[in-house]
Amino acid sequence: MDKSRQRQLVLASARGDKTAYAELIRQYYGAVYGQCLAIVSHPQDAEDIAQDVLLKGYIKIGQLRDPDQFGPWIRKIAQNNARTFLGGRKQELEFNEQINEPTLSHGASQDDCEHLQWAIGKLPTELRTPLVLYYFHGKTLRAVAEQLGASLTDIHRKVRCALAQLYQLMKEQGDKV
Amino acid sequence: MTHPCQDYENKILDMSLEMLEISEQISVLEHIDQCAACRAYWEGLQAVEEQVGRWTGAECMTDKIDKVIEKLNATDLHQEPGVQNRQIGWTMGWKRIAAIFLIAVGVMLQAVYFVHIRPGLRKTIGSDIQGVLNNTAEPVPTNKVEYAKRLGLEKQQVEQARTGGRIGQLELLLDTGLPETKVLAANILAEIGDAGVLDTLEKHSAKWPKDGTENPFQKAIEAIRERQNESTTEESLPHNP
Repeated sequence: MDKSRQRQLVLASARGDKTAYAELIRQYYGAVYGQCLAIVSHPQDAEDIAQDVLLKGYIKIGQLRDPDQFGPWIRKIAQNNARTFLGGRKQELEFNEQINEPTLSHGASQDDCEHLQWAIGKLPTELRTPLVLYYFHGKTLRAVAEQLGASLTDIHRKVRCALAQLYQLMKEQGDKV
Repeated sequence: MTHPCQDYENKILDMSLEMLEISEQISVLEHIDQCAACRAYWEGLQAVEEQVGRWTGAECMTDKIDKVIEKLNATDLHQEPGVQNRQIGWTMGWKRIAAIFLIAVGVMLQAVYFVHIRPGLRKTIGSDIQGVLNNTAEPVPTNKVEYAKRLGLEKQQVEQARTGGRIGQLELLLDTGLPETKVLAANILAEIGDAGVLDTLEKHSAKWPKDGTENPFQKAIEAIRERQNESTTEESLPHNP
């Protein structure tokens, strides 16, 4: 999407044009959802947060001073909301003493998913975020580097490291069972 | 647990991330064919990647987007007013500029008034007052000639006031004149007999030295009061037809 088109859509959205904002949602949903997923490591939670973020974006779009900055602005809201959610969930988990590793069993896809989710959650944030975004952006390192404002070399190094650690975590977990 | 060969570990990772040159990919694949540990590593990475790809849910993104848009249209969301709405109307900008301009002009006019006009006004008014004050507080000349000159002038003023019946001027001379003028003015005021000057006369009477000498101000007061009494008695008598 070119800048002038985006500017038009942001201005129209600020005037209450929902069709214009729907187009912005189509354009930025991936970035918002990816950002949330990278932080909360849970697809369903990420989906809920992304939805809240985009609806909140419509309510607050009038406060955006520069229409060209819609992308970074909405991603920042996503980041803040996901972090707030994560903080709340951690407290809840600590309260309920449910930080145990998942019980794993072979063959069940739901268990595989939980297993992977647990392993991704174990990765440090600086590795988890680029890794999740890498798969989310159709395995394009350049898109991740642009979204995170980092160099391609740095992102390449982080994603490689994250993948190696993820493999190791999953292998170790598999060996235990 | 077997580990991949150290030399090939990063290359296998890069091949998995599609970041390896084709020529290198060929050599890595040849090695994988021969090395069981590296083959297991490569296959394990492929499985992990497939899972992560599924987990991120990128493939069913359209459904998720549609869900958000549906919610957007179904919900009655009220937008918060913000800068964007204000920026849209160019007239708002002009109005703001006009308001700022008018305020600036107002401030400048006030500054001009306070700096230039008001001090001038104060000076004019002040000079008048000062003039009156100077008149009333004119020092008594020490030079005999000057003293006699001023006394002569004041006597003329008293005479003029008596002729014109100007009690106010006599009262002023009573306050500002030389001692002789004050006595003269008091005598004339006694002759005229206006009760309105009693307060002024009493003021001067109180200042008169208590050494037994005749107090002209007191004398004038008494004369005025006597005349007042006479006129009251005359008014109270019955008129003969």
